[in-house]
Amino acid sequence: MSVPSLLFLAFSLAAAVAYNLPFGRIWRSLILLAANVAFLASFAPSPVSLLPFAGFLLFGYVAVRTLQAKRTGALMWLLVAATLFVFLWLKRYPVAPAELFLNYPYLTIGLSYVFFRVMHLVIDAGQGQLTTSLPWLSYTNFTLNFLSLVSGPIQRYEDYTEQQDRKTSGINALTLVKVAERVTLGVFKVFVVSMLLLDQHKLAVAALGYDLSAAESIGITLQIVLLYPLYLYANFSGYCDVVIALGRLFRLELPENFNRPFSSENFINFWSRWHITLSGWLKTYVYSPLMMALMPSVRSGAAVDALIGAFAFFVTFFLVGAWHGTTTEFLFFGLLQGGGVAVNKLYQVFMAARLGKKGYRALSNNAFYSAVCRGLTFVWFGFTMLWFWGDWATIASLGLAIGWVGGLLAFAIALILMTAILALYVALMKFIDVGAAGGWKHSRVMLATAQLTAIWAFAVIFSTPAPEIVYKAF
Amino acid sequence: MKIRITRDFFVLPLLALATFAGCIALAEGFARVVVQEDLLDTCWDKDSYKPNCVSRMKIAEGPAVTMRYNECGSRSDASCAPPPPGEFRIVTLGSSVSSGYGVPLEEMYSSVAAKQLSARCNRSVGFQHVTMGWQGSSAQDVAQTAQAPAEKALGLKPNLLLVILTSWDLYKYAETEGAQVAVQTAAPPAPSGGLRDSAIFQLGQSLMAYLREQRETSRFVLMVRGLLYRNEEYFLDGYLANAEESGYMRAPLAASWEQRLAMFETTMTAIQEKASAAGVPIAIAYSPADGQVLAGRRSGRKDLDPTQLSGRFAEIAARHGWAFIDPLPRFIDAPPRLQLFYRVNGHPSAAGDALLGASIADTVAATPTLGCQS
Repeated sequence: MSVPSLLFLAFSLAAAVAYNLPFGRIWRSLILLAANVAFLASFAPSPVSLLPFAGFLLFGYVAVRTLQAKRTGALMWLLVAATLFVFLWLKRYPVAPAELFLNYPYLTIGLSYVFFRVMHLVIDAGQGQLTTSLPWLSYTNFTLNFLSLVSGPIQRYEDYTEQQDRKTSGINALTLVKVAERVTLGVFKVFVVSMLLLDQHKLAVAALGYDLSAAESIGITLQIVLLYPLYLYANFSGYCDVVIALGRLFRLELPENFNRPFSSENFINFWSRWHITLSGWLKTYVYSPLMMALMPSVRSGAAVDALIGAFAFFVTFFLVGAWHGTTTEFLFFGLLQGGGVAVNKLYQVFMAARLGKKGYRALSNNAFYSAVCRGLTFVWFGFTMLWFWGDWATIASLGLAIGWVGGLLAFAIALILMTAILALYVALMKFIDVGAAGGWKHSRVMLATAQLTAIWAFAVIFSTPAPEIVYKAF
Repeated sequence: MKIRITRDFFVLPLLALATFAGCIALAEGFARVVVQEDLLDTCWDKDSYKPNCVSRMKIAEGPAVTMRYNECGSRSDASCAPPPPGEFRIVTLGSSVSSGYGVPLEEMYSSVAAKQLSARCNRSVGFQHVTMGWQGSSAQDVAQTAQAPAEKALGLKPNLLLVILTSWDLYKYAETEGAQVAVQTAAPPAPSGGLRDSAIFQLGQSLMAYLREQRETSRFVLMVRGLLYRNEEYFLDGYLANAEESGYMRAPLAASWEQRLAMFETTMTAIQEKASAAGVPIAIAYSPADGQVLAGRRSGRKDLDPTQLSGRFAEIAARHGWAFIDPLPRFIDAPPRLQLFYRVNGHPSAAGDALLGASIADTVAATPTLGCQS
């Protein structure tokens, strides 16, 4: 079942109607379980293909309950390592000889996001931070939640149970309108915006096979580098809009995954606005423990602290990138993410030392400096994305097509272009924020209708198939 | 945002409806300004072109083209009077592609082929065109309908009768009564009764039919299709989605396509009888479809055989002793950047016509029985 599709929306609405019948908490949990299992099963070619998935869930449950019953540091690390190993083994990372992998087709869709939830429970249970009970029904519904199974967002268990325990659904006419408005926005982003951007991006990549002039090479490079982040944003955030909105019908307040990432003025800030729940998870379970472990107990000077901070950032965001897959392209993508935030951190420390904290703050508040930094952040992210969607051969053909001089020129043009565009974007967002705070009821209805019209046109008139959600592959 | 039950429940839906209508009007209005298209060739009259007529037409994706027809209604600047001694005259029989629809005369396949053949055969080569549709309620009916154009073509004293054929010509035959039988074997009729007889269902059907009709005439739809179809993959997916139209690429051929081929053979045999009596050899040129060319460039599509149809044409032609011209390999091997077709419209562009013309020239020059070299 594709998310978002008409079938998925109909499925979710039918489940929401059943879920909200006044039969109490157990009923709601059972409906949610049925919906979760049905959704997962819709991807399974056979019941047997679900067994490894079920085994992983069972393993996680046993690990968490064991740690709740007997909490020791050694046991926690053993179970953390074992959970990680089982996940990597199921995802066929090279952690074991190839002969030891299961040699039949089994379901792994959403396994990464299930892993994040299970690992969060294992670590929290091991550290004694999982204070609530963990009935199997809650565990299964939390880990398998059909709204966030495919690509997140990654919710925390305590938030999930607190929301499910609420006495009232909080659903009224206004909630329904807001749900409809956000679902429309999400489907519009995926169905129309991301489709058009992907189309143009594919055309640009295909043009690499042509005999291009220098000016054409630069134009093509700009499209390839700049369009993909916009496409990915429209695709992924559109998906999140849909599932977060639908979550409201199931007493769920799924965490936001995006917060206007392209308004970020540096790469560290960017990663606190892009795929927020993943970077937040890694900050909690990788960055913070790593910092704690690396920081010397006695003061060692600002330079050492800065290096440790940069190193911890590097490791964390290397994992953000490398998590996407087993290929060398993803590893390099991870290196560029980790390298980007580490250099960003060192730059901040260096500038603060050179200009003083006040001076650096004043510089950061300078409108022109901010705009250029915003442009640079976007262009860097777009550049790193080459290793996210492309393979080495495509990247090499791009490099050959444009050359060093063309590449530098393309970079300069991209920086100027994105600096100007994003400055306008930020100004527009401020204007919209002011208007939205005042209500803007009529314009919101008009905007949602216009989006619906575009969706209708693409779906019905052009018979456009909805693009796949990119993160479904991970 | 606070919704007031009393007024908002009327105002907001009305506003939504107005927005919907406004979006459609704006989009269509914008497209009509941006996209210029005039497909109507005013020289067309029922089943042939008016003699000594000049018109202008424009396919959205192509240039504005002046269509000039001579005294026989043939798209040519040359007279259709009997050719001077020594000139090798080729008369084409076919539908819109054979008349160079949307392509300037000087870039039309016949101009390209005439130029190349003149050089290779060391004699003047000229083209005349006669329109022939592949329509009728049965194979025999189509063959009967083809009699008049064939006689008209032979009346122009050709040295060679060249039939220009497309998969679309044969596909459109499915819309005629004869092919309905075959199509119905593939898709059983929808059950009647129950919901299907309800007024709401009928209204829905009418609405969908209306929308489909509007889809074909809307300039906005045309504009967005042009935008989307720049992506070859997307275009090919759409082309393949029409399983009947693109069915000639799937092996084994469906019964409906076998029926079309039988119709083709029956019709061509009837034409051959007349041509043989006049001592005129026959050649058949197959002008490929855009989707077929794209499928041919994608080696990954194991389920498709884009060469299947031309292979079958070649078999039929060989059986009857007709020359067969197959430009498909040339189209497939052409640089991908060349726009060989007006993609939304479906007709070959000037670049496509150039390849068709070159293929005709190659085969005609290389086939002694066709008589160009003599």
